[in-house]
Amino acid sequence: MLMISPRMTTAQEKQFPPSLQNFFIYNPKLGPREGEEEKKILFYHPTEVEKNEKIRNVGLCEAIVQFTRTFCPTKPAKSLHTQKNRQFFHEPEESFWMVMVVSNPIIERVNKDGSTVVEYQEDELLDTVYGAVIQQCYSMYKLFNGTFARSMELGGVELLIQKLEKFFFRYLQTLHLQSRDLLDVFGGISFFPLDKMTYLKIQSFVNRMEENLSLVKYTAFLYNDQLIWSGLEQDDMRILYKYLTTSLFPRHMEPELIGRDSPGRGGMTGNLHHYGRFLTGPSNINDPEIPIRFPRIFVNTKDKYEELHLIVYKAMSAAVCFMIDASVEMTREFCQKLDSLVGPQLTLLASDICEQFNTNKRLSGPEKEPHFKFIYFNHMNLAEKTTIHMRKTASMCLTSVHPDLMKILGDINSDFSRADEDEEIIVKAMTDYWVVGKRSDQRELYVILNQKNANLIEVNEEVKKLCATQFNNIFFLD
Amino acid sequence: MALRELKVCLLGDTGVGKSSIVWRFVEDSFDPNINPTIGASFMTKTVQYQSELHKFLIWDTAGQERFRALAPMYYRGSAAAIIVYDITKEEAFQTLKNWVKELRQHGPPNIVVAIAGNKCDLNDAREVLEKDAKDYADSIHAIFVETSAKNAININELFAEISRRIPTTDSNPGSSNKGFKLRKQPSETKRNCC
Amino acid sequence: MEADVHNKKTPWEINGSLAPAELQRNNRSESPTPGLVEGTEPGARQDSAMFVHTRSYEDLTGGEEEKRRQESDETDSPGQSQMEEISKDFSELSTQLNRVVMDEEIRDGEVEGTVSCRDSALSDKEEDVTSESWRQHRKHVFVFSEAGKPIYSRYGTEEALSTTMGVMVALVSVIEAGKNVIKSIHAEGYKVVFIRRSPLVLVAVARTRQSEQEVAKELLYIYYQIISLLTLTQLNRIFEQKTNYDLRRLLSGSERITDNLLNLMDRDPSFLMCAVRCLPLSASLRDLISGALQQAKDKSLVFSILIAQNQLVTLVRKKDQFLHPVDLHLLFNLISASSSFREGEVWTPICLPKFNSNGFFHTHISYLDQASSLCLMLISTESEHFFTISNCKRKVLERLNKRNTFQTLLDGLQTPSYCVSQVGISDLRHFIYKSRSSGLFTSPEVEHPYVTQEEQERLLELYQHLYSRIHNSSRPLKYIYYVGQRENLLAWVTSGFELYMCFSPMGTKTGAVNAITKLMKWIRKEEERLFILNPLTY
Repeated sequence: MLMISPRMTTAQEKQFPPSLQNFFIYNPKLGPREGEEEKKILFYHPTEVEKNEKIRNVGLCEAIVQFTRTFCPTKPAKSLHTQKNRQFFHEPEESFWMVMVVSNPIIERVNKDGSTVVEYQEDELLDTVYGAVIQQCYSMYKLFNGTFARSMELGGVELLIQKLEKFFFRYLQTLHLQSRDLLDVFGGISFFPLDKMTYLKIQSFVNRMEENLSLVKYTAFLYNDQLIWSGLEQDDMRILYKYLTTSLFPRHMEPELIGRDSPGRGGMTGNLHHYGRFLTGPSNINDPEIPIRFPRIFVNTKDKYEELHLIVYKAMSAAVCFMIDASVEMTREFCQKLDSLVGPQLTLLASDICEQFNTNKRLSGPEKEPHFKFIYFNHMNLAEKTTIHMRKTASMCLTSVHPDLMKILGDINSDFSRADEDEEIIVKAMTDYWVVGKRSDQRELYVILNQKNANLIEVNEEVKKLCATQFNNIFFLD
Repeated sequence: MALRELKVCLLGDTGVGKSSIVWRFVEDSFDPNINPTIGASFMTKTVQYQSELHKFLIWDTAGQERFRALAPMYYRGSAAAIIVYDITKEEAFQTLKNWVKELRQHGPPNIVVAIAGNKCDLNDAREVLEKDAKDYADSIHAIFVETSAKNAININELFAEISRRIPTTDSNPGSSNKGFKLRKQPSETKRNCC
Repeated sequence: MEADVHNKKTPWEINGSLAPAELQRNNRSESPTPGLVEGTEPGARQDSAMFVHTRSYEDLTGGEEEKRRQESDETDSPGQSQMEEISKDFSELSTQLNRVVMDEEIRDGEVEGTVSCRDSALSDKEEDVTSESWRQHRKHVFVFSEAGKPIYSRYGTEEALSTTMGVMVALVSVIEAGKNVIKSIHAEGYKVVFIRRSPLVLVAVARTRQSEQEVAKELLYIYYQIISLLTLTQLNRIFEQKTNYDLRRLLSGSERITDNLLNLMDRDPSFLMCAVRCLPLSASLRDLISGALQQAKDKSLVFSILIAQNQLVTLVRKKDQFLHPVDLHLLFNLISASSSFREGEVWTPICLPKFNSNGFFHTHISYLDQASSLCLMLISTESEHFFTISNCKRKVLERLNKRNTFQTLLDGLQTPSYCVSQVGISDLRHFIYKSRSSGLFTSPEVEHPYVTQEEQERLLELYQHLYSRIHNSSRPLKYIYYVGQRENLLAWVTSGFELYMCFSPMGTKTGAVNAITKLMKWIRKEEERLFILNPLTY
């Protein structure tokens, strides 16, 4: 099941990154009797796995969960470490268990006599990171399909199985387990920094749009893949943001940035005042042959359980999400009205923001390459900021530091999460890089410094300087 | 006054009170929370017997099964063996019989055997009748006495009786004045004790 | 592209703003303080060491034994097929587990009946294993055979826990049936760590902050403890003859030793540091004592060891024979676990598993003075040499008494440790300094605010955590500084030494940096007293 081709490091050595071995979802209540075990299984990847093996693996997970209840009835197992892999357990809804089996990275060496030795690197995967990945899997599923329990109510096990297969068949291909890191633990939102005036402009734009398009229940506004305004609850916005920035936006790379108009969707080509286009929904709203359908999303599943149409509309670097109650039928007229109303105004607003952004950039002087890199996360508003990650694309999130350093950040983060206290940890890695982690009042800051000969006091001074200069203007919400 | 050295070893199940008997005899003290003996413990005590001084060289062996194979090392050089059982444990009395058998087969030919029914202060929980034990002891010509290390009953008497029964120096080849050396067992060439 | 970024052999930096650095994982590199390279750090021995080089200790958790076992698994050993048998019907285990719960409920009733007739000294064991207080223990330890027969449980009787251990053995065997090895299970607030050392399986359930490796290391200590009573040869033979043998028969009376070892590991940093602490003594006095031990020699003697309160006074060894710190720790534990050495002279077989797991030494154990904690261990190869060795002990005492050395030593025992205030660093609360080349460490008395046992264990846990981070197997560190609400901590590892310091939370980073220099100077000045610099051989 290795989907990634081995990488040759030396002539005699091959490295294999971690990969997805199994992913399955089961509910022990669905097949409580002996001989009925297969009924428990709602989804199993890869599907080719032989039935008895599926049953055995599910049985093992059940046994482990049950076993740990001996020692803590309310907090059963979250992961199992074995020589060859790690298994992560998640119970997002009562009795529904999701299990993800990730193989440990492998180094394969060829001895002089030609025999191969396989070395499993058992200490490379961080539980917090992959624990977050499996939670993300559920959140993403729920965003587009609602809860497991609701599907069962509506259409029984059959409907749930159908939904799970449809969703995870594709989603699992986008997991990219080898490039997961601390950012997945945070699951944060990058906010676009801007001045008060522009912020007010955007707010009044949103108000105007909601007034004119009274069907709209919620709105969210993004620029440059960064969030500026959202009417959704934080947790719903967090997963929607994840979807937009890692899946939807990268699929529609900015044609306008390279000086071409968007084809198709919005129509209205050639109009310099209207760069707007739909990223979701029909590919051409003026073509009567194409039905008007938008993706459905589920929010507030804990209480109101709202099902919504998701309309994502974009002009240049500005994107707006309009969310409309799913019970309302979407019409061609509505789409045309939205396009003609939002298109020109959003185009104008986008160039305003762009201009203001460039001015600020000029004012702050030419960008020097700093000798440090950092990640910041605020638990209260989910704001995240990183200079370590270069660019998010559909497939991956490139980091500019060695994975081992990223894992040290992960270790520091799990130290922090043990106690709800203000703490600071400064470490020097074997490579002589200094890594500083600070936690204060629900905020976490991680800095990597390349000053090999610095001592503790100098490192401390650097971080102080960084906090003074970088963070005053970045965290406008603070 | 003449000094005689008398070598004695204590045998019997774990927890019957071998060490407590020795402590009572040597130190005249009793510790209810005494730890199980590890290996074997060696102690001496000199007492006056009639016109002689008798120096008891006492091997207090561990009763646990894993030390079982060490026992011959200690009884082979002894002039007397005290086999202890617990009067509240029928099972311990059965093991005692195995010890007697073993001594008869592998022990020194003239070894004096004493049987001590310890914990006689716990009469309420008694499982072994005094008469049965006495009859058995008589049948093998062994010294018999019920003791209580806790209440210091019959402890000194037990050793006095051993003094009385052990033949005098010249007739006992096992107790030359050089201090005995544990004989090497021909079958046990390995260092492993078990 | 991404592959390149993650390639370990390439420098980690891509955009060049942080200059590339070579990985030097295995190279614990130059000591930043000039002159403190390995072998010259304070506490380093001047000529020869008395332990097996302590580095070899670090493969304690890993390595060879396990690899060997796996190899044998691959070739389908009889053990393997037996394991498969156990796991045959595992697909139904979950269904069975429901029954297990029921069984346990029924058992409860039975257990109560048996409990009453158990020795009252074992009250720890009688706990209700379904109660919350049982679950909340900081560290559970279970030992059982590969056939699932209970051997030891730290809390609760083996009988009451036999089903739990049965499930554990099933988990081990099911995962092995898939040609894999179970390592640990992690949940919020606790972890379950498994190690298998055929024919035994050992499992810990820990609520501590220790890493999986640290917990596994403690389990190995328990394994070695069992070996030291039986030898590996005997253990293997027993289970070859009878796979479902009840090993508790042979281990009866040793629960106390195992319990004590676990308690000791919760409090004493020796086990964490893989090193031995010396009783602080003037060098001249220690030399006199070592001399006395050296003079009282015998052909069959391999080691003469004098200890007091789990600290080493001195150790004299046969030329070319080295003691492993693990073996010495097991001896320390044996002495502290039992009061039965207090009277008379004990002569007992002991296996030193790291020295040779297949044979027994015969050890003469006695206290030099009934009232003191000075315990002498004379380790011989001859089972029949009791009187010869006993004579050696007599000679040691004679020599010590001759020049009044013994009284000076007894006086020295009145202050078996030292206060951190003697170092003269205001915010310093406690420290551990280990000389890596000699395998010895020093550490002051634990004082305020770590007065209660709970607080003391918390301090050790902090050190354990620092230790596991700095010695992380896949990403070791050189240096850690931690600022917390209750204390600030520092850890520094070089090729020559390891230093762990605990400061008051009021301490500053500047203060900490200065404290290192000052402490190192102090240790250098005191090294003759704190370490054994001139170990002797017979």
